[in-house]
Amino acid sequence: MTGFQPDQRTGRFAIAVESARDDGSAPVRGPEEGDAVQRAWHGTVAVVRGLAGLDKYDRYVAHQSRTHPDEPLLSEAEFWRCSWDAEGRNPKARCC
Amino acid sequence: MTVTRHAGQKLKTDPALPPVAVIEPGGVSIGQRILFSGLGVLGAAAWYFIATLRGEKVSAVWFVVAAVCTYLIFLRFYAKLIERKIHRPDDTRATPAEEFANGRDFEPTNRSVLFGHHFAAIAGAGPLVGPVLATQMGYLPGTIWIVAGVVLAGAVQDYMVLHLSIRRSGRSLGQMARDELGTVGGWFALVGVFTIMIILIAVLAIVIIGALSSSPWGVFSIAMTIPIAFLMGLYMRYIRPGKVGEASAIGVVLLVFAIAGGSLVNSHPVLAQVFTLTPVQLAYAMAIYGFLAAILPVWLLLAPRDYLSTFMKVGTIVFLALAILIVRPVMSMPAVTHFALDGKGPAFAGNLFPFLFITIACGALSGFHSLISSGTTPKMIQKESQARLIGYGGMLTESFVAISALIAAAVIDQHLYFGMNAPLGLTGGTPATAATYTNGLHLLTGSGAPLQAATPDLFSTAAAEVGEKSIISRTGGAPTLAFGMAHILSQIPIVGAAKAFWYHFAVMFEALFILTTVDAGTRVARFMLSDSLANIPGWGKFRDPSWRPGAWLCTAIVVVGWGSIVVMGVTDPLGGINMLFPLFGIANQLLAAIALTVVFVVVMKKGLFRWAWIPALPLLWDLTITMWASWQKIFSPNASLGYWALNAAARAAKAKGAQTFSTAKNPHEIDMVIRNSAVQGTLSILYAALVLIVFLIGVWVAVKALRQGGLADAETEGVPSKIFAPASFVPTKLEKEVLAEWQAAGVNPSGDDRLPGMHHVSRQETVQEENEL
Repeated sequence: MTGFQPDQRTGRFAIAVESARDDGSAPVRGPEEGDAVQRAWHGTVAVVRGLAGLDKYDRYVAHQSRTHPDEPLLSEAEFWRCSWDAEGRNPKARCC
Repeated sequence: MTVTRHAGQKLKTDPALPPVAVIEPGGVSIGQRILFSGLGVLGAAAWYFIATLRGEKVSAVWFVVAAVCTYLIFLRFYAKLIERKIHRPDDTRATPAEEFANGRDFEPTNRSVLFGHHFAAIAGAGPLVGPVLATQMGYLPGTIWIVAGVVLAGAVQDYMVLHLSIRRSGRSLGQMARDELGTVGGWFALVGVFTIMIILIAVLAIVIIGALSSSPWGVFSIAMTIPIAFLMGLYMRYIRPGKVGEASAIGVVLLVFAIAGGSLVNSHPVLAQVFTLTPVQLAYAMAIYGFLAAILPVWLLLAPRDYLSTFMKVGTIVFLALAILIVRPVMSMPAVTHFALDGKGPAFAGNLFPFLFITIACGALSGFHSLISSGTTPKMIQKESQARLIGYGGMLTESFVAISALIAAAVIDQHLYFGMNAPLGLTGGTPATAATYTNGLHLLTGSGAPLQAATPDLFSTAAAEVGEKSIISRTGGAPTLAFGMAHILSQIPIVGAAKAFWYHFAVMFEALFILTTVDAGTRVARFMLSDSLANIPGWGKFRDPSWRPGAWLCTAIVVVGWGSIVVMGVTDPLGGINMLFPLFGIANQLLAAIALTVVFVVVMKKGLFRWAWIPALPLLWDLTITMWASWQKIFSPNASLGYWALNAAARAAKAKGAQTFSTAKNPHEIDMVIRNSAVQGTLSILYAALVLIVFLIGVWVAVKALRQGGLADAETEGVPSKIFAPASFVPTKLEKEVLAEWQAAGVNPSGDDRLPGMHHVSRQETVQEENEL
């Protein structure tokens, strides 16, 4: 770390630099739920839900309670109405 | 210091948080060396077989292997070069998704999910249709261009535009053009985007009309998607509010029933009559549909159909790729046909240079992707370093779709392929005349021997097998692809028994995303129009999207714009799609020229002159090939190629009082040829002129940058990032180490439930207003 300045172009906002452990030790294992099959299944479900947009409301709830915990939450139905209205005002192009 | 560099580094932006970025150790590991050497050898072998094997047994598997090996090598080395030398992604800097997170359109999204979203947004009917038409020149030219074009041009454009937009608060291409090229350049770019969008919608509509005309099965199943979407919309809004998953499940089940039900309609004497529509009727139906779809609330039609089409799209493409690997079909088209050299192909006129590169636009280089790469995806990406995977990698996936489409077209019997893709004026429309026509084409087998002559039976049997009355002159590419897919799938035991079902499934799948493009495109174009009108003094009211008369008027103008081109195309006595498809390809490639100009200018402004060849190479190639094609379309004295030569020839015929002209059968049709060729010729001039102006302004700015050793660009300040996510699908060793640190700290690194104080001050309202194109 000593003497190393992070590259201005790849770490403009860096305030501290740590070197990788690289001492051959295994990465710290955090708490993991379920076995490998369960984790793979949960991962797949999360990706499919994300692709289909099924997790939009959950994400909104998480975002709202994080950023504006004092404000009331929209119900699921109200949330979808607002988000469709917003989509109508701000359409996204599709490709050919 | 050298020791730490070898091991890699972890960067922090906040003392209270684990690292948010890593600097990977340089060099290529032993494992990677072995892997990529292996891929190189395998890819080279596959290319060798494709290029040299001749005969009856060229397997489609070689194409898949050659393409995939090339993609992986370029993703690892060429995209990495762009990353290191030009982009230099800075993961300590928050992306627009993180900086402006609002839980809606700005939201850091898991990289696998975003990859899927980005792919679904860029992949449509284009990469399916272009390669099918280009197969008339043989499989080799198309394959080479799809793979070489994507790694050096298409994926480079998508990746570079994406990076540009990430550094500019997720701004759209039009806005970036204005910021980097000045007001005049930006204005021309905007007009270019708008007019090109109109032709895109029109040509896609014609493609799907080609698949639906006189096909009661197809018309019924597509028509049913409208009530199914309504039902889903009402269900999600009133019956079980917000239950999007339930509604999607119901929709998918009903959709399968609609396709299967088409078979009953097809064999029912009265219903078959009702759902048999002519191309002109379909053109008007499409225009009315486009108007209604663009003014109806999103929840009723657009949103529910979107839920259906994402899965249809991804699912069908994966299914086709697997089917190719299981069936391992052999090519029936030769490597190169004489149409590549004489330019007289029935699907589109013109020589390999430059028209192959205009026909296969999407799949190798698609300008439209720059509209998705800017504006949409940057608002969802977690880290700058993920742009390589999503921008470059996403486009490689689309190219793979194009290769699959090319394979599906090249395995069809040649007589059937040409019978399907030649206009009605040439085939005569009956099995007997079609057989006479294709037998007169001097078709050769893969080994160069004359192809066995076709019998009329060949055409009638093929049509009956897929549940259609006729497959002759079903131009536009979509029916050919559907036929090729059904042909491949029918060779799989059990699944293949339902050949007619698969044909209509494929038609439905193409129609679904063409319809989505039509109404989303109409909406986007309407907003662009009303925003422009609002700039006229006194017309400010147009800016208000809830002002109904304004919305209806602008929608009507847009629909009349593309609708009249559709009607022109389907009534064209010379066969509309082969006249209009080049215009579509040219428009798309010119949009790519605009996007690459913007990218090139920014690289020059940054003073990276040594690496400016990376965007300059595809820009110059694209501009040369497209201007060459435009030149031929405008100035060629050959009436089958030049719009104005055709116009003059038709005028001369009319002046002489001729009753027929080429495939125009009466004086009224001759008038149509005169009018259509004039419209097409004018559009060609307009597109070429617009893009040349944008390009010249770009060159002027670039030269200024070169003289001054760089210029200020419009990159925004940025804020420190407070989240972490790996750059690629699989985390590296170093990234795993950082992820473990986040886990040990008890914080979710992806920003899903950040600590209080981790989120940024919300500025999304202002950004959103600015971001309306």
